[in-house]
Amino acid sequence: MESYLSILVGLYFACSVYLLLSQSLVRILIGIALLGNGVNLLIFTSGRITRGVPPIIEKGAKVAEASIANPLPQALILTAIVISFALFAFVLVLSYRAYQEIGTDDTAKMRIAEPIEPSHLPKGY
Amino acid sequence: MNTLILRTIVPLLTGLMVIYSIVVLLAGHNDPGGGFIGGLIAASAFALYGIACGVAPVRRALYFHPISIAAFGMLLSALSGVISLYKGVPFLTGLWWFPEIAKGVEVPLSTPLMFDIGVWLVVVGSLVTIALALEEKE
Amino acid sequence: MKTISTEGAMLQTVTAAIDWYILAPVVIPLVTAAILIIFRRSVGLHPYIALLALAGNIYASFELLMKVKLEGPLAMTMGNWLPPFGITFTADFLGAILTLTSSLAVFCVALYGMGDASSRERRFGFYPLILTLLVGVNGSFLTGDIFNLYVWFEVFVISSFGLIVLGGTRKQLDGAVKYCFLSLIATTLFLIATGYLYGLYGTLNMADLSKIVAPLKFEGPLVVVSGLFLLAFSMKAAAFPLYFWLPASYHTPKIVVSALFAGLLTKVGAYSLLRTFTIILPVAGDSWLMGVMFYVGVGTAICGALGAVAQTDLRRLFSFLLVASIGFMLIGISIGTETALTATIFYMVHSILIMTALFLVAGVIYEHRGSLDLRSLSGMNKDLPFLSLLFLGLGFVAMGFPPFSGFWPKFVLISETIKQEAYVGTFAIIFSSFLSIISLGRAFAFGFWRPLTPNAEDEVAAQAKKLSVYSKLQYLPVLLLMILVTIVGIAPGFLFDLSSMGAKGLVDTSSYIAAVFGGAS
Repeated sequence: MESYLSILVGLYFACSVYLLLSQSLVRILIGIALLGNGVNLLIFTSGRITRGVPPIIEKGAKVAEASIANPLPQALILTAIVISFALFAFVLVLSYRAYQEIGTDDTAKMRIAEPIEPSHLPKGY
Repeated sequence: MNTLILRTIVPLLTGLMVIYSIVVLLAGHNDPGGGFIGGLIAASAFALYGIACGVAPVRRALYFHPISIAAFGMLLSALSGVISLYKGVPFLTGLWWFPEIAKGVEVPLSTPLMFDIGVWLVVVGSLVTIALALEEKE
Repeated sequence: MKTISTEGAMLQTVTAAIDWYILAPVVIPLVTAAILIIFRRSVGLHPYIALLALAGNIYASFELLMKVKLEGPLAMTMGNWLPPFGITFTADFLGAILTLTSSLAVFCVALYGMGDASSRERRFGFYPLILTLLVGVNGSFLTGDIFNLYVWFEVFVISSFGLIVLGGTRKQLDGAVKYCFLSLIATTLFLIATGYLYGLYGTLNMADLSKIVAPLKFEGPLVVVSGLFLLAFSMKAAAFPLYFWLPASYHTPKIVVSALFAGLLTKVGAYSLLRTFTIILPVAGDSWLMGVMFYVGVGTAICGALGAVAQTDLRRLFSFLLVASIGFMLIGISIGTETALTATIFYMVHSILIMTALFLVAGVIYEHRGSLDLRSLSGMNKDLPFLSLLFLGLGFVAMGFPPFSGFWPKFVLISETIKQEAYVGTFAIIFSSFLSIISLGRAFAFGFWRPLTPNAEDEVAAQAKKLSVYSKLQYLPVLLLMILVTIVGIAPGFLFDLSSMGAKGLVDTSSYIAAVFGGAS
């Protein structure tokens, strides 16, 4: 099971890198979302996959009797999901506002902060 | 969405959802539930109310600005960890009290509960802010 | 009610109140930020409350440093769990020094913000955001858990997102897009590396990882993980060849915001590299990967300084100098001897203070002239003699002239590169410093020495009328930082002792591990 999931994570990363290399902001956004999902799957896989044994300890016991699923990756993923959701929402709105103000979502044409015209100091005064 | 059916049913539904979210919040820690999921339920209740009756009534009903509610939740959560200072235990250590309000009826109060209420408020505050901002645009 | 006994997993000893100083640099600004947001309407009070809290924070960080100096590294595990189960907070020398320095820098920025942040921007959350940024930065310096480090990264990243768009001009949005996307990708790469690390060793506690990784060979998946950490943190620290986002964005936000960013954010990336390749993955710190990092550092130092020479905008010039300074740190980390690490820690402290000061002085210039373009700035030594003196002084500090604080770490670092026969590094540091002298010297010659250009006189007069009542006050934070770097420069012994103790703790990890597992073993 782990090997299949690893291949899937690889696919996620490949697609997201392809999208991140694009010039369009929307594609980069989708790339970031894919990357985030790929990471969550990666953490899930690296916590080892077990089936049908929820990490619940019997009442009164201190440790689990049988081997149980690893609960830590779920906590990590939940944290990562919440954080990446918040950040993604922010950059989504930011890209939209930038598109409204600048009028393009082509990163090669977004040159307001770094204008193309040459700027150099005068030779002397 | 200004239909009669929705406008009639939603005030009732919102109340029910908020009560349910508090039940979920209090059930947390030892049973499924907790501040995060409870907060999501409450936030969706307010969002629904906003869809049916408009944004202004929601703001009036909440009384405080949603961002202030979220900040208060953050404060509550942070302080729930600081209470441990007076007991000489590390930050965020769970402390429990069992005051007896009537004969044989114990109410378990704890800093994890306080933390959870803080989380509930943060989730409600921040999600309602986002939802209302989106609904206002339309 | 039946209580479950948990002696096996939980700490039983009493935590003294003094140990709580380790949390104060995080909890104080967090609580204050929450209070400020609750009372978001009384923006007039925001600066005073924030300054009070930041002063308290400086005091607490200082106490923490003194405590670490007396007793060695401190650790506290959240929720009373024994390490490695709970999230650990560990303050060693490195963390404590940087916490104190960043608290000082944020205090100065908050002081400057009194005159610079309008009440609209304050209602939008200027003060809460700089406080939460400090929470994230201090959390990163003090945490002892690598996933927790990721969370603190995100805390300051999201605060910085809020700060960079404060005001919302077109130029800002353009810069913010680049900054935000690159930050997001860098932190996701960090998370990928953390995921692999967890998959490999099943723990995320830094001290625990240190114990597990130390006896291993540097091969296989460990190489991948270390490489990913190097990539992610270099991106965050703005190292060659991934520094382009920094000069593209740091000159766009409000000046007080870019001062805050320049002072703190890249340094967290450098700090994480330092932590990762000494404590967490000691094996990678002795491997060929350090050779890669060395040349990355050389490239950063040279490219940053070359970029600075080419700029006409004062803030972009400073941004490139910031990139160059990151190069010196990377060279220091990659050499990795105790002396080199001492110089690196010293240089980090110096860089936090001086970069904040440089951007703030740019703010003062902007206040008086309404522009930061060296093509139009002129004649400031006539009507603003004190400002020109201050700029000259800060320039000397940044170039690394004795007796200011920039001289000592550079001197030590250069002599160490010669001793380790890393002559490329020696060349890079000297060449980069030389170029930064040219760029800052030109800035001074054009902006201050050049006689006032004829058509600029009216503009200067018009700008002088617009000066706010706070314009005198804005000198104060710059002066404060100037005094600090001068004191450190004249009497470097104190900071050198602290830095060398910090470096000792990084080279010999046993005291760090003992602090975390002290109760257990």
